[in-house]
Amino acid sequence: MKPDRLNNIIHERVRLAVMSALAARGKITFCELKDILEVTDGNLSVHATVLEQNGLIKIKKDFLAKKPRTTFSITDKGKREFRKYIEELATILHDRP
Amino acid sequence: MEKAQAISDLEFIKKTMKASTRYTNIPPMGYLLSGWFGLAGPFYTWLYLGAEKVGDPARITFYDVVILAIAWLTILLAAAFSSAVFSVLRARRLGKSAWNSLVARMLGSQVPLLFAAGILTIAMAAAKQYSLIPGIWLISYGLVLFSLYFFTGKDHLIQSVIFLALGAASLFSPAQASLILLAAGFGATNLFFGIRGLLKEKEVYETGPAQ
Repeated sequence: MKPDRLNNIIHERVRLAVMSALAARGKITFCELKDILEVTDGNLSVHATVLEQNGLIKIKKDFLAKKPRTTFSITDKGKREFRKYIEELATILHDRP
Repeated sequence: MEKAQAISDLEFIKKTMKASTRYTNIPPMGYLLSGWFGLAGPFYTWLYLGAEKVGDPARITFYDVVILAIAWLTILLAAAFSSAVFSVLRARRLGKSAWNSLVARMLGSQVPLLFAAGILTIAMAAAKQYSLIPGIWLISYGLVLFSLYFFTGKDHLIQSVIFLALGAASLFSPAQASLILLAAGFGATNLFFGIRGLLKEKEVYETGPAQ
């Protein structure tokens, strides 16, 4: 069961992993993130889109040496929400017997 | 949510955050150790040469140059070795390989810059322009960090700007000041980012089960 106060968007394994990686790095490419999280292209795309639609991350597409490159970066809102999420987990940890 | 689930989630967050920095991979302790080496170098140089030779580099002899070259090479190798050891240990803890194609590309891309820095250092020493050497080192390292930024994160960008600024200041400063700026770059800046890294890790760990 998920308490109401935990962010619904972040509270999903792949999305939580994406947010954790971006909280540590700020910006990261699609390929690198896929390698770190060990997820499929499709799975990562779907979850990244959800995060982007909710303003937690930004997705930028450009070309590097004529090859397409997708880069994810965390937004200010994303940083705030992720911090809040960790604080909520900490509260649960300390409040519950 | 059960407490066990919260613990598991926090562990997952910590592990992912650490795994995502495995390409930068130098842990805070690596920075701290490099920072101490970075302070030791200028301090030793100052002690060895004395205030007179530091203030008037024209008095530096060939023998002094050889001794200082050995000292600085030792410091460089010690800092590189300790950073490598910490990185390997960190990668092992994460169950990942410390060496992969991206790391190889990252390091490979630095070879021309390091070569240029080495050649410029020798050229400056041959021309007895010793006071310019700290500036060259700071700027070269700033450029290395700037190119690493494209593989890593904004910490390297911030460090790069600091090193480039200190290097530029050093090139136009008196000899004594350039040694202080060298210590500020390789010493204080690395120590600052080491402490910052430790605090960042603590911030996440504080919520963990070990508390």
